[in-house]
Amino acid sequence: MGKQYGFYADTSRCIKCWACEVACKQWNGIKAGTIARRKVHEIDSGKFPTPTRTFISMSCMHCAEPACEKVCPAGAISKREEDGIVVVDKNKCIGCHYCFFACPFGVPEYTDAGMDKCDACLGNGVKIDEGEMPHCVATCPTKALHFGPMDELREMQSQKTAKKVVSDSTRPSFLAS
Amino acid sequence: MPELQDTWSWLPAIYLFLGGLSGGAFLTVALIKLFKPGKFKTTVMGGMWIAVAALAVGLFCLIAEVEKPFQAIVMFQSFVNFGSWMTIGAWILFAAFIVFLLSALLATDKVTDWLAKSWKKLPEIQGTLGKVLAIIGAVLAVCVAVYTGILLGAAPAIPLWNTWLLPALFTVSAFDTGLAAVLILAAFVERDGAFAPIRDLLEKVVMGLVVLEAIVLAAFVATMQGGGTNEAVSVGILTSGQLSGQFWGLVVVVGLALPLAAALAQVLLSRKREDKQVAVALPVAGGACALVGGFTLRFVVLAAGIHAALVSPAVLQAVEGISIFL
Repeated sequence: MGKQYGFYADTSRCIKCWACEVACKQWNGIKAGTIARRKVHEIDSGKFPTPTRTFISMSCMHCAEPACEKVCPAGAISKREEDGIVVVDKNKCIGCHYCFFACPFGVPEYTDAGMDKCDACLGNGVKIDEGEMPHCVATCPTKALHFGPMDELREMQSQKTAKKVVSDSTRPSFLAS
Repeated sequence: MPELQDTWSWLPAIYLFLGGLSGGAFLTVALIKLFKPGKFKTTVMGGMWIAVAALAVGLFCLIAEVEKPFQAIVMFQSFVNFGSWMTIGAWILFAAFIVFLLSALLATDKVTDWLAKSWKKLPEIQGTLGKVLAIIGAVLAVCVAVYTGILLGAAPAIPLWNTWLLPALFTVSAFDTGLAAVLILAAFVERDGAFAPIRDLLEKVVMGLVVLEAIVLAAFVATMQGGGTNEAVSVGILTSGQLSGQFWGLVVVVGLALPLAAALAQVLLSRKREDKQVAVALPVAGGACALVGGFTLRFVVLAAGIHAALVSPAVLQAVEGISIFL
């Protein structure tokens, strides 16, 4: 197996501008008011007088052991050998929704065409093997969102205070700090 | 208050109920056919047709739920990943439907009379063929019943479903509802005394199944309450939340307590009477209650199956430092 690519979200830099969400929808031709492959979440913690708000941009985590791939009856979900990106063949997908019940992050969403989720912009022509960035990462104004081989992302994360992402069973290719 | 699961609507609940009923009904009449050969033919034939009809309607509901039903019915293209329980289940259901249908046709005199006209050997081999089909069908019936629970149990992101107790619960309920359907039928078609000992035995089996189901249900609820926060929130929807009325009223009282009382009453009343006969109303009422309870059980378990990422983000966030707000 080749490299495992993934995303790294640096919450200390995210300002919740939603540019990543918008870029994702634009470049992947997703209609407004329908689904969202990438979402910026807000986490509130602490109490008055020291409340904190943390923002984090998340999408499919391209898990090392994708639970969605295992349960798909039609074999429509596969993990690419060369970069570890988890992709959906919408022609094979029958829309049974079973992958939603398997994914620990509730990522799969559905349109008439079938299951829809992040493919690291492979579907709209981004060449990640040539170092091109998915559009969410390319558009992030504060450089809070990163994409690349996991070892490089881990190196970046080690400069900051790492945060743990829930779910150990599928080993998500996603880092946060 | 947590929102109910709606990724799968009420159609799969109907399948979970009818699939179980189909398996339970076929198993019941297959055992009657194997242990009392040549007797109670109307009940055996009727039970087999109930199994066929229930499975047909259940499968229709299942297919209607997916986004691309016409693509899904091309099974050799759409159910190919044998690492998925849904694929294994789909082929089991397919095989079971064919065996149930063949058994039902073979148990129907009009069909066999018509077939025998052109297939002279049929009367000779009909008995053996029926037995073989009944044995294969009984095995598949158990698989169909168990699979209704495995379909949900094999979904790792739903805390309420991801336990082996769910297949156990649905299997017991499947036998219970299938038996209830056969007993309702038998109450109308078996009016002579010959069926009385069988009825007596089956009503005792009903009592055993109800008690077993109550134990498994209690174990399921207790395990969930003692599990993590996600499990407790989900099962709380059943025991004290939005669906508590349906759960306590329809699943526990109507689905368990009333069938138990009806079965007990029949066993006791038939002892007092010379002809061992009981009123039609009693088995019909008990059976109907079991069916209502069985359907409601599938419905509430399906609806309360909230995704782990949606159940309690605040709690996860505190524990893990980060969480998902969908």
